[in-house]
Amino acid sequence: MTDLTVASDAELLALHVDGDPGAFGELFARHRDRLWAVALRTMGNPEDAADGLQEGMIAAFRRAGSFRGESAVTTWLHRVVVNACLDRLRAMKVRRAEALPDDLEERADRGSLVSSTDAELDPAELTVADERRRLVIDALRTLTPDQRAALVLVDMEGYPVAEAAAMLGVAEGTVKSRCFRGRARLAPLLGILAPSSDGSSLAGNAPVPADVPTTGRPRGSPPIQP
Amino acid sequence: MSDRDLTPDQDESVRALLAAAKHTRPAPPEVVARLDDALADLVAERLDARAPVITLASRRRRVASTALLAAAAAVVFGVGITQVLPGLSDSAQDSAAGSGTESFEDPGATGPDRAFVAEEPEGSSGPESGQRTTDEKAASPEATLDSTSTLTSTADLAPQVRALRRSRSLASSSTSPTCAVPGAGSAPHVAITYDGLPGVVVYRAPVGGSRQVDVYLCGEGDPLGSVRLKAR
Repeated sequence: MTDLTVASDAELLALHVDGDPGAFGELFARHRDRLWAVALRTMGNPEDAADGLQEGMIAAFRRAGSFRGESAVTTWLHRVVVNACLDRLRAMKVRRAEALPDDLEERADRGSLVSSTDAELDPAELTVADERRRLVIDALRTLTPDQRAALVLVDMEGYPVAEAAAMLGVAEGTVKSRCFRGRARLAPLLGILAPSSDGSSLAGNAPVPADVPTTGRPRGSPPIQP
Repeated sequence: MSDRDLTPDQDESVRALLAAAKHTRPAPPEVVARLDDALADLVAERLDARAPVITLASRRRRVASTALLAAAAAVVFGVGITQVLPGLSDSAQDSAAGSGTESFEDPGATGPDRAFVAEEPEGSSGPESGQRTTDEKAASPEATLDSTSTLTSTADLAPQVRALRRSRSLASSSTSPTCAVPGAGSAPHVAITYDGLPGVVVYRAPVGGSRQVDVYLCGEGDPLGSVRLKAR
């Protein structure tokens, strides 16, 4: 009898396909926490994340026989779970306008939120860090599901673009494009790039920050020479 | 929107914020429990989907064939008894005829026993038919196939044969064939089932204070087992 705890991911999946009742549970448990993180950030809240993760697990359980070994098992698992989450998001017809917090523009004026890690912060700063994390999560919800999934995999979870592309089932260039556009959308919401007064900063050039020194000649009358 | 909207520094700032917002805690216990439940359902569903296709079908075939063989053996046994014992033949036939008459000609009969007989023409199935079969066995010659007549390969043969002899005297055995057992000859024998299959236990003539007892399956020329018992 095979010891499931020492079997590789590929072996576990093969055992599952062959009818082993415990192999898939062992396999999924190994990757569950990271899949949970991806589902949570992709869906934006624990309830929908649990639904998406469960649907992904069920899909993986039933479609294990379709795994061809062209990628790592964990990549395939992520792909199934992310697709389940995206399907849910599309079904929920999440729209950017629906997800925008009322005070996002107000928050965008607060300036850059990049700072040190939580470990270096005191309790008051941790509160700020939590608020910052909340702001990022809220801002993520304004993106299209595809952009959000790309940013979660690449920028949050740190997967290489090539692996994220395999997880999402798209070309690497598509992942790069989605990430780039997603970051550009997030920047004003995170205070990195202030939106224009009419809120259309994303459609034009980036506004010039106020503290950037001017290179032109000062306006007004030239100083009077003595 | 142009891809040049963000400078490299701005792009890096957004990436840093995203990385800092990564969820690092494990899945909550309630989520894990929910996933475990769903997985248990999937495994059970999978097992259920696989099991009946092979096991139930083969089991049904086995039960059906065993029941058919047992029924055939019972008929042969019954016919043999009535031919050897004319008086029994008459009474058995009378009894059978009486039952049939009652069932068809006395629809107004009451009581549970009557009810079973009255349902016979319908070819009833279900619990009632099972009880009716038991009742009929009790009144028929082959009713002597009690629990001690049911032998099994999962226990030693000798104690089973001894129990059979204790419950069934040789006087109650028959010398007529209950089923085709070429090796049985005219020795006294008792009808049995062995692992659900019809057979006979043949008591050989005593030799030197002991008697060999052979156990045959119907139609088999060789005994599947033999036991030597003290002659009495």
